[in-house]
Order: sequence, then C-alpha cells, then structure tokens
Amino acid sequence: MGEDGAIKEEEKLQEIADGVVRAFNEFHSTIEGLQGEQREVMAHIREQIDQKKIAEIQEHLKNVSQ
Amino acid sequence: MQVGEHSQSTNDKGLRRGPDSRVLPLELSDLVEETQRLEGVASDTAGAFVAEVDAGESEAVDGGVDLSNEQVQQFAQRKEKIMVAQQKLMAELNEAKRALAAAREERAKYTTLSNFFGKGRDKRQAAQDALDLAEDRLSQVQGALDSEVGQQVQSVDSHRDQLATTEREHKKATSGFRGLFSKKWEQLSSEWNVEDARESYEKERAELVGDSILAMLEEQSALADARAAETKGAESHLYRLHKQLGDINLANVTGWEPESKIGKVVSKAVSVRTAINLSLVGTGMGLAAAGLGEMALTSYIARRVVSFGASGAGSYDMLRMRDAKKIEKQLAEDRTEGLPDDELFSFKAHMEAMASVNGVRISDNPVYQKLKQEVGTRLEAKRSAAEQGDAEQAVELSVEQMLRDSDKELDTWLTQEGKEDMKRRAIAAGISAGLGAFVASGLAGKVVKEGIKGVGWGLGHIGDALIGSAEAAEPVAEPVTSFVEAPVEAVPLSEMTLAQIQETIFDETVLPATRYEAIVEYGKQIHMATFPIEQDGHVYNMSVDPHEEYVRVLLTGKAPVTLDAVAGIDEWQWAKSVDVDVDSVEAPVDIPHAEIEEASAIEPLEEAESVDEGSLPPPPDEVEVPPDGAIESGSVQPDRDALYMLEERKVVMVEDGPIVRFDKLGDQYEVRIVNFSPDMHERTTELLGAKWQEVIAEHEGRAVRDVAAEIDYVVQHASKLSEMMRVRDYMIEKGLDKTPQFEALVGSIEYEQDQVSVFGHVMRDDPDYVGGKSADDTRTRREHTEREPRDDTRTRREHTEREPREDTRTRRPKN
Repeated sequence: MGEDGAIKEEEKLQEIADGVVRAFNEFHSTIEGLQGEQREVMAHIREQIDQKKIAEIQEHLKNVSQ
Repeated sequence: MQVGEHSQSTNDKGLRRGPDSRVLPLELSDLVEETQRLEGVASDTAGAFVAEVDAGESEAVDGGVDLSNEQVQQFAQRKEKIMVAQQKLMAELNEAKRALAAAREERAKYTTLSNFFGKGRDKRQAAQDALDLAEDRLSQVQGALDSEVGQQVQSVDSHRDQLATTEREHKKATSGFRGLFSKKWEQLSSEWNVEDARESYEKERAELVGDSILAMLEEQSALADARAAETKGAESHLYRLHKQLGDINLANVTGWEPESKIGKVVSKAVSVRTAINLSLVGTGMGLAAAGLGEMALTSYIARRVVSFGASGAGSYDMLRMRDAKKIEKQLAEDRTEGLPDDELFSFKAHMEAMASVNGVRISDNPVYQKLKQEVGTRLEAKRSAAEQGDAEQAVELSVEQMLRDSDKELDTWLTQEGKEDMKRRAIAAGISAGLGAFVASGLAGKVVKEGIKGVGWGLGHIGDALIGSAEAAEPVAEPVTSFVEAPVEAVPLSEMTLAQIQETIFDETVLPATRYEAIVEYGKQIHMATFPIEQDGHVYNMSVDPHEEYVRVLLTGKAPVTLDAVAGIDEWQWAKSVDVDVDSVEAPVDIPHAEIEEASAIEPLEEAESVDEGSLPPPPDEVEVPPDGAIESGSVQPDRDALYMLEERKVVMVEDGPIVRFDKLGDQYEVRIVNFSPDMHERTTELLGAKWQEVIAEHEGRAVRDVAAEIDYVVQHASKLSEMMRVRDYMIEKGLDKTPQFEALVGSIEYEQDQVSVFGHVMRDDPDYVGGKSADDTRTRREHTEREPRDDTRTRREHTEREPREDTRTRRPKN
C-alpha cells in the first residue's frame, strides 16, 4: 500500500476507533450509573431485611424467655 | 471492562485516541476483532445487570420486604435503560463494522492491484486480507440469512396462530345449531375468512419448510399444538396433558430401550407430544372430538399396534414426497383411467404427503377428489372380483405388489439423490422408523397412561378428562393418514394378518373430507362411532351406525360436551324435523360407493340376534327407550345417563363397535357385549369376567357422573380388547404367535386388560392369558345367568378354527 493510501486508511481507522470508543464509553457510563443506583437501593433493602430479621429474633427470644 | 484493556500491553501499533485516551488497536483486522468482542462484552454486561436487578427484586421479596410501586417501577426502568443503552451501542458498533468492511474492501482492491504489479506488501498478508474480506462477507450473508429465517419463523408462528384461531371462530359460528340459527352467520363468515388465514399460513410455511422433511415434521407438530390449544383453550385437561407430554421423552416414560442407533436417538430426543402429534394425533385428536377424549389416543394407538405392518410406511412415505406437481398435471389432464393400479395408489400417496409438507388441506383439491374416487372405484372392482375367488389371496397380492413397487422406486430415487438429501431423508426415515417401532412396541398406551398421571389425574377423574377433552379436538379435515404412522419396515406378507391387510386397504380407501365423513369412516371400520350433540344446554350422544345405504343414528344421553365437536349436525337436524323416534332414526347419508362396500361388511345385528330371540336381548334399535318425552326436540333429559338407565333396568353403552349392555335380571345385572358378529356374545364373560355383578352393585348410591364415566371407560377398553383378541386368535390360528407383531399385540392386550379392570370392578379371566379359568368356567357363568345356550354359540376356540375366508365373509353384506 502506498504512503498516501496508508495514511488515508489510518485516518479512517482512527475515526472508526474513536466512534467505537465513544459509544462504548457512553454505554459503560450508563451502566455504571445504573449499577450505582441499584447498589444504593439494594443496600437500603438489605438494611430493611436485616431489621426485619433482628425484630424476628428479638420476638423469638422474648417468647422463649417468657 | 474498559476498551482496549486487553491490548494495551501488546499493541505497539495502537494509537491513543478518544476522549478518555483509551487504547484501541489500529491494525484493521485487530479493530474488526475488537469491535466484535465489544459487542459480546456489551451483551454480557447488559444481561448480567438485568439479572442483578431481578435478583435484587427477588431478594427483597424473599426477605419479606414489601417493595413500593415506585420501587418496582424503578427496578423495571433500570432494566429498560440498560437495554436501550445496549441497543444504542449495538447500532454504533454495526456502523463501525460496516465502515471497517468498506476499509477492508478498499485495501483488498489495492492489495490485489499491488500484487498484480509485483509491488507492495507480501503476498501472505494480501492473501490474509482477501480471506478476511471473504469471511466478512460470509458473516454478513449469514447474518442476513439468520435474520430472514428468524423473521420467517416469527411470521409462520403468527400465521399459524391466526389460522388456528380463525378455524376455531369460524367453526364456532358456522357449525351446528348455533351456526344454523346465527343471524350473524354471513357477517362472521366474511370476517373470519378461514381461506385467507390458511393461505397466509401455507405461504409462510412453504417458505420456512422448503424441502426439509424435518422442518415439515416440526411445523406439522407445531400446528397440531396450536390447534389443540386454540380449540379448547390453554386450561383444558387435554391441552394440559398435551403440553405436559412435551416435557417427557419416550425413554423416560416408557423405559423403551431400542437396540438400533436411530431408535436410541428417537427415544431420548423425541418428546411424547411430538410422537403423538406426528404419528397419532391426526386421527387421535379428531376422535377426541367424538367424545372419546384421550381414550381416543389409546384407541388409535391400539389400532396402530394391530395394524402396524399395514403400509410399510417409512420407505413408502419417503416415496410419497416425490413429484407432486408432475402427478397433479397428469391427473388434471384426466388421465387417471389409463394409470396402472400401483401408480394410482402411489400418486394418491404422493398428494397426501405433499399436502402434509405444504400444510394444505388435501380435501380441497379437486384433482385429489377425482383420484380418490378412482381409487375407490378400483378397489370396489377388486373386491367384487375377489369375492368370486380367494379373497384373502387377492388382497394379499394387491398389497404385496404395491409395497414391492414402492420399495423399488424408493431405492432408485435414493440412489439418484444427492448425498445431503439422502442424509436428511434418512434422518427423517429414521425418525419415522423410531416412532413406528415405538408404537409397535406396545408402549404407546403406557405413555398416555403415564402422561395422565403426570398431570395429576387420578383415574377416578377420568370422566372429567373425557368431558374436558371432548372440545379439544383438532379439526378432522386433515387427512386421516398422517405422514408418520407406521414402522419403516414393511412387514412380510407372510406375517400379516388378514385384519392388517384389510387395514391397509382401508387406509387407501379412506380420506375423509369432512369431520362427519371421518366419523362415518371410522365408524365403518370399527362398526360404530359416537359423538356428542348439545341442544339447549343438554347433551347426548349421537351414534353413527353405517349400513349399506344409510347411517342409522342412535341417541343416548351422556356427559356434557359441546356442539362444537359436531359437524355432521345436518343429519341430526333432519331427524328432529320429521319428529320420528330418535332412537331408531335412519338418516340417509350419501356414502361413496367404495365405502358402502366396507360399511356393509358389518354383519347385521338382526342376524346375530335371530338365533334365539327369547333368550337374548333385543337388537340395539329395539333397546328399551326412555319414557315418552325423555328425548324430544329442545327438551332432552340431561340425566338420561348410566345411572338413570340402571334404575330403568338397562344400560346401553355404544362404544367402538360392540354395544355393551347391562341388563338387570331380578336382583342381578348381566353385562353383555352385543356385537355384529355372533362370537361376540361368547366373548362377554371372557372379557368382563365373573365379577361384573359386583360392579353393578357397587354403583348403587354413587354419583351419577362417576358411574357413567367408569362404565364408559371400562366398556371402551373391553371393546378394544375384544377386537384385539380377535386379531390375536387369528394370528395364533395362522401360526404367527412367534412373530414380533404378535408380541406387540400381546403387550397391548395386556395394557387393555389392565384398563378393563382398572377400577377393580371387573375381573378378566381369559384362560389363554390368565390361566386360572377354563372354558368350563365360562359355561358355568352363563348357566348362572339362567339363559339357555345359543344354538350358534361356540367357544372361542371353535371360532378360531374357522376358515379365514369364512371369517372374511361374516363381514360381508347380506343381500
């Protein structure tokens, strides 16, 4: 491939690569954001679950002690 | 996962590009590879996130946390957002791939030129580029094809559903009384254009199926599934059973362990539902509509077991796939009369097979109708000729010739076909063989039995099953001869029973164009058939009893089933309009000439009963009728069922041929099977054993419906058993009791025996199979009933000593 052709091809490839990188990073950012939200929600839910379990255990202990 | 992570350390050609300076390889082929990899990464990541959200939701529920509506909505929104993001990325990546392909094409062009002029890069790289380009293109073509096939599958799915729905709606609107009196009939007919739906489906199906036999079989099965679901609805008993069967493979249920390789594959890979759809359901489901429910399946299976050697179907069916267009052309030119018999039969088979391949209704084809008529005429001529000489021999010769020619043609055809086609067809033939062997193995009955258990049915609920299944009928306008219906290996004529040979002829003669015709045809073969009729919310059964020139219609009340199952309502309507005794209506029916011959082969009941009228029950048309007004137009008594008739001294059950009668004599009941042949009387005690009186006694005080259902069940199986025993006797008489066919038959007989005594009411004590009773015992029981022995009553052994020709003639018309 001649020099001009090689440069043209390289430019074209760089352009494509840029597009791919941009698109993927956008996707990646989106998923990171959503994962963050999900983690936050789940942390809250797990806290609720723990509270519920603790309450049950306390209730159980209370019954046993009576 | 970050872009370029994997290549950062190794890719010294990579340039730092992009807003966040991520590394991408800038060698073309690497970039293509990377783009493809990112597609996978995106898909995996999105999938994992959706799973994570789902898991979170489950965790909350399991942990006893009540999610608010808002929270639930947010969970869903997150999943949706990631899917949208993924789709967007995919679109960008596809764009990049297109650009890369264009760049590669440019390079290949240049490289080719460079090579031509002896310049540029080394030839190995150029070759690699060309190869990459070719692969790219191949990949694009493959992708396009996949997408097209996917769309086609989707399209055929939708058209299949549409066809099933339209058929159901149309049938509902146009059949029976509802159809007759529906003001909207014409409007609905035009709205639900069955022909349009069918045409769309056939077109899509043809494109999808192409010439692939396996695809055809799968589509055939799918259509049967759709119709089963649509006709009754997904909640019906039969549909549940049907669905359940799809999850069971033959090996698991039956323990069937075939020796052949293909048999092993089939036993593991083919679901019970597929087996039934492909080999049995065409007729079995049709019979379900006749009120026989899943019993119809066992009935059909039993019949197949008895007749499994009939057509040598594997090779024969393969043959049927050929040259339908050519044949149609020949027939359209009205050249049927010049065709030799074997070609004629073969052509008919071709058309049936092609109809299966294309999913069309062959009964709509005028050419086929002409062909069918011609076949009927010729068979009639053959039979007439055969009556002058040795009937059995004449039939044998005809069938033998047909099979031999078919096999020969098949061999030639396979030799001429390409390897791929051969392989494909061999697989299809193998499946056919496997299914055929399965049916012939006598395990099919067990499958149905296990299937029933599988959906949690106790046998006590068999009545419900019968009732529920009555609606779940596949339209019977399909050819009765299904594509795969018998083993691939033709049974040598020396091993075929007369009944099997006759069965073959029946199959050639029969191709019902309508549901009613199918019922009459089936009734013709088994002597009698019943189907339910609903009027004003009340239901009773219409029994079709074909005679030489008419069909006698008997009515008996039974389980509630719907009018939808009945297409032959016109005859019933006629009977009502002339206000005759509906228990002995003779409704004229136009039966094709060839069918008359078969129908008339049934020995008239009158002759069987004429020997000793004083000691025998009256013939069916003189059976005690319910009180006046019990059955009349618009006011059928819904409780005219088994118990009602028990109280009225008699129960008459008409199923599968023999009439089974429970006669009360003083404080006892006698169970009799009244068939159209004298020896059937002799069979009564053999079949039902000594404890039948207890059966009746146990019914007292029980729910009407349970009693009716149980009796019905037992009677159906006793009837089948009786038919099978006749074949068994004949095989013993002919010295065929060491053949595999005989073993299969015995297996089925054992199954039927189990069914006859399944409620614990009826004991069977056939001396040949149980060994505990003798002919003397039989006579003792007869004396117990205080009846004089009939002059023509013979023991079964005496009967089996009759000449076969005589046996044949007992089924001939009495002129």
